[in-house]
Amino acid sequence: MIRNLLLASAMTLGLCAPVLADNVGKPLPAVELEGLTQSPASSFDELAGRALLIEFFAYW
Amino acid sequence: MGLSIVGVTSEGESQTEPWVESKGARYAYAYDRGGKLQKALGVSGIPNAVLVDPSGTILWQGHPSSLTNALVEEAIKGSITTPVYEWGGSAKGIKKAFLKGNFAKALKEADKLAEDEELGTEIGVMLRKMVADRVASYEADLERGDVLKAYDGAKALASGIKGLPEEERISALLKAISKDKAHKAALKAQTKLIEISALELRRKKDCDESIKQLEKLMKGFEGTRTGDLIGEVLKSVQVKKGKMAR
Repeated sequence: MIRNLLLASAMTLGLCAPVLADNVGKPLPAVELEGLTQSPASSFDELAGRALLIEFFAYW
Repeated sequence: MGLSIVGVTSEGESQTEPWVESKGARYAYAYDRGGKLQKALGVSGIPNAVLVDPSGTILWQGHPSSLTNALVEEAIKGSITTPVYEWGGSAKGIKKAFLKGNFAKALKEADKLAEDEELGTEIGVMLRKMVADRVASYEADLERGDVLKAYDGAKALASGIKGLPEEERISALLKAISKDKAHKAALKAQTKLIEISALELRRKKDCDESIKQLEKLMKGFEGTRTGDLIGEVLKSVQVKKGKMAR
């Protein structure tokens, strides 16, 4: 597995601590995102090496 | 154009899928189960977006409407022209090794491809930067006292970089953790902290139990990075308990 993007691994401590400070300049936290759909990539690993814009959304 | 856009939701599939269909949304999306990524990024309201550069570093975070073209252009700099998912034909083997985390093999094949194709050179540059960035970030983690992060990352990377110049640095990092008493204690405590953090807090009693365990774990770590991490979790459990008390 590729680890620099959104990677599956044991949870790192960043996950349990609420981030209050600015995240700019920090690496994107290693969190596994599932079910990537409607993308030419079949996993987040395949998006490595390119800029990525993540937009949080909800159906409501 | 060097930028991938992905929508991420912490909601369930049963409600999201029909919504996506009804809206006719065509963009890529994925699920953030339990809102882990949102929590890690401190996202408290939607919409919120995060712009990440090709090395995985966050360049910007905020309301999508405040994202500027200049920021996107900045992010795209250094993006590979042929995305990993398009590495076919002669680059297929590189892709396979890369997705397995075998950087050494991927690089060897990329260098071979570079003799005939520009793509090989490009991939080589990208992979070398990824390995270098990763090693540097684990060294920084250890320096900061995030021993578990450094250890987990280094262990996962180690087998994939055999024979590369960074192999020695990763071995040295793992050795430093295993030989040093303070690092070992911090590693143990941070691992335990993950366990405690994963406990479900449904009732006040659960919070009390968690607080008790965290306070016990804190002993001897006051004033250290581990202590700070424990303190952050402790604070969030206390807040949760406060909300339940009503």
